[in-house]
Amino acid sequence: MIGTTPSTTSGETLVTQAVAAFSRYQVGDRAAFDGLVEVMTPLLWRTVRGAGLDRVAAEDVVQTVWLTLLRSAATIRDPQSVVGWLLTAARREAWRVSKHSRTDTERTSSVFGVDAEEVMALPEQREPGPEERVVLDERQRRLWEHVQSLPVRCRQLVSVVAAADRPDYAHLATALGMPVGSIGPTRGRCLAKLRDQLSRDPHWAGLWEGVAS
Amino acid sequence: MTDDEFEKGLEPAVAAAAEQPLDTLDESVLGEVAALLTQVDPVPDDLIERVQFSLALDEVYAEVAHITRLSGDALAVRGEPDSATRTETLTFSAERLTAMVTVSRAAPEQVRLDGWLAPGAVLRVRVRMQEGTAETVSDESGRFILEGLPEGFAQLTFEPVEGEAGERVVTPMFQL
Repeated sequence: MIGTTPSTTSGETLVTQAVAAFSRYQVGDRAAFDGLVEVMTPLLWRTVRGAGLDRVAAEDVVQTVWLTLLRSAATIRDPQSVVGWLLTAARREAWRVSKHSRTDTERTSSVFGVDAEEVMALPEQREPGPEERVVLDERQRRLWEHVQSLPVRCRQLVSVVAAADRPDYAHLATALGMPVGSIGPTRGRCLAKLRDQLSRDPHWAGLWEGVAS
Repeated sequence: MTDDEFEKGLEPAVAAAAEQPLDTLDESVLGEVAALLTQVDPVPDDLIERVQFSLALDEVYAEVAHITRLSGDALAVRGEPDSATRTETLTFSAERLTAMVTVSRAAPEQVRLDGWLAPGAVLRVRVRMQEGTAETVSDESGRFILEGLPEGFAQLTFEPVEGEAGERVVTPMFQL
């Protein structure tokens, strides 16, 4: 079956559901915002995790993005752009956190003095890798490594699209800064790259058998 | 490889494949990626619920403070005398306000927040939890204490006391 992931019975995609919910919110339906949160939070999670943040930092970023949208909702004129707004905000905030946590730390130290500096200088905990937490077979482990080896934007796109509905591919790719062509979406560079890597991987050879090539 | 290098550096065969429409093999790869991510990196169970709670604010706020965490284990290295007390320090940074908050847990209903605002100011400090809201006012040096809080997720808001000018700042949720 094509489109194995979350389709609704009404045939709506995640993007159309998100846009509809935000439109309702904009005309005064406060409860519709909860629907938007439900639909989009998993995609924000994938975007932020794709940027390499640990799970705790990723939660903070997802929450910050939602609080910021709630505050800025009136400035978004076209409800169609809400998905792009959210994914862009998630990418930026994830980037800010990963690149600037040191700056924040230094600023806090300068505000609170030596005592804070001492606390801040302690090492961070390393997050265990997936292979340490869950049991993966060799094929899955190789897939994980291939996905992780993609550039950040590609990793975000592949993991977001995997979790979404296929008709949303072009919309999500544009929102994540890796457009795949608007007239009948093409495969795009990220998926092409991942397929290329998998095709060279002996653990993945099986996938290509039985598919006409 | 950076994103830009990636754009320039694709082999011709891969660049050509990128121009093709999605096929069943792409579907199959994406399907396996989706299954893998669900297994390896599931969306936290109650994240949606927590976000919805954190957004159910009655008042308009001007700014969302950025959160920075310091792990409790790292603090334990300093040799806290009472090992039964777990502590964690968080900082919240907004444009004109920085808050450093230490969370201490002695028992389930015995969570205490020790806060320090900079610049030091008298502000109304509220902690929003599923169970309800607690509030206090910081002293002139910006210090505040909230005690006897239950464990769970909480969110802070900082706002001027009545009659004073200033903007309301809200934080993301964090664990008590």
